[in-house]
Amino acid sequence: MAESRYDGYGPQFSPPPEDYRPDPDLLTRTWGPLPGIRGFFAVVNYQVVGMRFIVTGFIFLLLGGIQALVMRTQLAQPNLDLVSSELYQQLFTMHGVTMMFFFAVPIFEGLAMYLLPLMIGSRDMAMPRLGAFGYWIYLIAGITLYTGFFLGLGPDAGWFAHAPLSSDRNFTPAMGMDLWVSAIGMLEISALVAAIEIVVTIFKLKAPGMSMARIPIFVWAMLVMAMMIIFAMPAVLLVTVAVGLDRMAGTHFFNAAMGGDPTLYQHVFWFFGHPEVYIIFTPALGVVSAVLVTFARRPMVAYSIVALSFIAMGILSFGVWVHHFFAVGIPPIGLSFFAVASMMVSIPSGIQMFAFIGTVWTGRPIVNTPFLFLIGFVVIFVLGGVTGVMLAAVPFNWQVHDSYFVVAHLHYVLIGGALFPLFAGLYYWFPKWTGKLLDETLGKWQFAIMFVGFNVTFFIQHILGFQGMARRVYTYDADLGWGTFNMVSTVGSFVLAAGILVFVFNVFWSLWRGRDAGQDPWLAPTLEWSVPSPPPQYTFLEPPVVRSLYPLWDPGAPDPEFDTAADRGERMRPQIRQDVRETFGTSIMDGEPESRVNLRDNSLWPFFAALAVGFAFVGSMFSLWFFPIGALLFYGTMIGWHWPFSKEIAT
Amino acid sequence: MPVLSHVPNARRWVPVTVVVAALLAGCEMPLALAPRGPAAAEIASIWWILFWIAVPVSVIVFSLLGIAIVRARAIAREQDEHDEHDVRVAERLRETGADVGLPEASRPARVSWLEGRTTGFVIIGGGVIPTLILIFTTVMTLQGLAVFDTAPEDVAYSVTARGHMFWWQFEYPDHGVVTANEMHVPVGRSVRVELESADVIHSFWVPQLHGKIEMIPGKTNVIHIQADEAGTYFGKCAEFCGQQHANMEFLVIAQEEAEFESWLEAQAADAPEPTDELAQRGRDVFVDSQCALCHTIRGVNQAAPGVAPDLTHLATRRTLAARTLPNVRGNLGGWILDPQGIKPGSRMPAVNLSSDEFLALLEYLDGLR
Repeated sequence: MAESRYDGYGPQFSPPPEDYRPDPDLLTRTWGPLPGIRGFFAVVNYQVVGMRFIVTGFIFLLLGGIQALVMRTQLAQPNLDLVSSELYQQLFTMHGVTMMFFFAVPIFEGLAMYLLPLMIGSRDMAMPRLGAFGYWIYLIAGITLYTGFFLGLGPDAGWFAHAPLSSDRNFTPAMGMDLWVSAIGMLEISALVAAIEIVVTIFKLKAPGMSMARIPIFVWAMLVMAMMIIFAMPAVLLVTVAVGLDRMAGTHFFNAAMGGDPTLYQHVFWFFGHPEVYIIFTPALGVVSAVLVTFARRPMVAYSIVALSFIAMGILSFGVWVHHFFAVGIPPIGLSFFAVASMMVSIPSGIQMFAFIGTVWTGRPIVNTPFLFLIGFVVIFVLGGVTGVMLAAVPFNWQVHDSYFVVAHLHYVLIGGALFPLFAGLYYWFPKWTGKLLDETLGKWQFAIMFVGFNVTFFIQHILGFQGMARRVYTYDADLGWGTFNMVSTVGSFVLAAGILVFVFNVFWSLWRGRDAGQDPWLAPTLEWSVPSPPPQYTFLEPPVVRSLYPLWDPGAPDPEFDTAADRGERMRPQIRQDVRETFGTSIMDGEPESRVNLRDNSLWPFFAALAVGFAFVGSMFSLWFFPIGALLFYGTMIGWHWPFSKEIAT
Repeated sequence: MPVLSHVPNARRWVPVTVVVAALLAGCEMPLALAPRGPAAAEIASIWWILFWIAVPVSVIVFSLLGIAIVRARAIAREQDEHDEHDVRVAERLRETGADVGLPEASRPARVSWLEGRTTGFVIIGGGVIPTLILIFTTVMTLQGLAVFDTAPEDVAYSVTARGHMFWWQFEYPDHGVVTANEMHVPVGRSVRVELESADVIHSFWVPQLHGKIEMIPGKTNVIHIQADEAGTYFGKCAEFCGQQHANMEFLVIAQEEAEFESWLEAQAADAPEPTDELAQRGRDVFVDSQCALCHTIRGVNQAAPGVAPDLTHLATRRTLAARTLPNVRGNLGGWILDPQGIKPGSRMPAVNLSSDEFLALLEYLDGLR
């Protein structure tokens, strides 16, 4: 097949120009930003957009953390009056919304955006303008949400916003839930466009020779995450729109008195909500794999089984949503099905844990800060995993559901399963992004403080759940005897927060005084370490080709017997133009070079499009008329967005 | 508002659920693991099996990780030193003009025993063994579900529990009893509880007697609870239902059957006629004020059903406002005058009364035994 289709240079490739040489100056002009303030809003480069996602996401982590500390302080002793019940319900809603929607998903999308082109050997993401658009929407959603919160209009029905509490103005008269609908709606759009961009990039922009069997596990994880977002997010978009219509247009989706069904909300919401957990956890596992291989100094064991386990996890996680509401009164046959499915979903995680342990075992591990965070991840996540299996046992679930046992469980899974790996990743890639190493001593302190603080905060909450402490209570009576454990938990939460502060300090300190990292401080195996730190805007001086799973450990050589995709890519490399934004387009499975992909340039239109969407969503809180007007404005911006210009079409 | 000065103190109340406190103090086990009924006992037994599976599983995984790190570090250290030594030796020899090959070539690499067995390790350790464990826990779960799915044969009484923002109504339809925030059950008898909601989703949870079942508008869920020991059990709304979700609690009071029967009988009766003059005046205040729009006192008035707690035998209850305050006269007065200060967001409005009217009303309500 290959021979007939790609005879030498392929349909889109002509013989190379005689005078080809890589020209960094020309590439910098081609890939650089526009000057001035316009450049700030028009930039579409994946490094800039990815880093904006990461930094913004981290700011939301800090905001959500502050909310958690206020709540923990309120709960430290019985009957405290630090915050009112009204503010408290906004706080826990904001904490959940912030951490799930505005921190975890965007920051991992940011990681994907920044690292995918570097890892797969492309010069940018497949749809740079779409990425920029996704970021602006995300920022507008976040600003909208927090503006409302600081005006005292925060959403107040929980991040999950179960109907009819959320959907009926009689029960939640304040504008908070309208704000929730608008902000979450925008955020879903942001997540969806980013996910589509990630899938297309992984499928089509891999370096020649990078078949699906040669993409790093990190890339597999991001692919599964993006696929899950594409399938899960529409469900929550649907259900937020239904809540919005119930509130604003007088429909009765969830109003039992008018024939609606409140449990319908839970089914649709958790059809998104459970995969959401894995949308956060899967990319974190990708980070774990990348960091682990580098510091174990050996390849990942059972690569293909691990990749398959990601896919299995992604699929299975769509079949377990009912375990978030086992207590609504579901027939036993339904309960049995979802109990079995919920047990099953832990098997892929078991495979992954043993693959990590096996990799360490056969490796030559270096125990530094990122590796410590990996150890913390395994310990905490396994504890969260075993309580997860317990929660799948339906009768036991009835006892601890919506109690602090579940609070403990979900923080074990999400902090252990996502935050610890995230910090491992931040320590690992910070040198690539900035050219400076993060301080190792501070890093070890951070790990120790966070690990201790985390366990002190959350372990004891399992017992509080058994004692009858329900979730989302703003206070409790002294005679229930919960005071001591709550105090311990509160102290722990401040220790945990101190660990995060150490990290923030470490970032600024290392930017100022950190050791220079050089191109490849870790002797790591993947392509991102083959370019300078921080990477130039054109990323690769010459588009790379790939001949193995770990190209920097084992670059391989051209195969004289068999003309591989990598060999052809090497011959075609001079065809990739340097005066316009071009990169290799390759086949999905084999990484055969198929085309030169022309990527779009800097543009203000994504920013304007995001403003139009923001106009529609924010305005819809006040009048539904804003929606059609916003849609028209958005179509207007689409014309500008897609306006071709001569330099790109003249090939 | 001098009348309210005592309220913050009242919030730190002690006497009423002394029983709960005594239970907490008396046993080391938290409520859910100190079951006092068959349903909670079944759940607790499932928990202990899960717990004794979880402990060794966690310990084994952590040990494997620990062993992996220690062993691999040991090999790495040896190997690194070896390499460094080899390189130094080789350099020295080269300086002397000797023809030296790569240092690695001269020695066999020390490898971990796991090398070459990793796929089996991952599949068996991470796939097969967990699957076997999960088959066991699944079977146990399904058996547990079957227990809960079988209705007890001998159901003595039936109660309709209705969740409201933010209080509970308990109705004994066979006996004409309606009460609030306090559910009485006979010891050792199975009671059928029908769970409904008047507004948003609530969740009925008595940790020592049963797991949670939600109360959903437009839907009736049914559970059977049984208390095996006389006592007062703590109950709580577990599904977030609005601003006062925290103070939506109740008590389940298990009594010997004879005692329970007489309680039913007393509760079914109309409210007692006030005897002294002040209380009679209080009754008139109640009927003429806005109280009577929402609260029913059987034999006196009929308010819109299900808006607010039935007050027919208010003085027999242990707590006020869904276990927010102990039911003593001072608290009752504070609650009438400033419900929004005590329980912000509750549906009870402050009532505007002259102090004469207020004292009369208090006298009357406090006499509703």
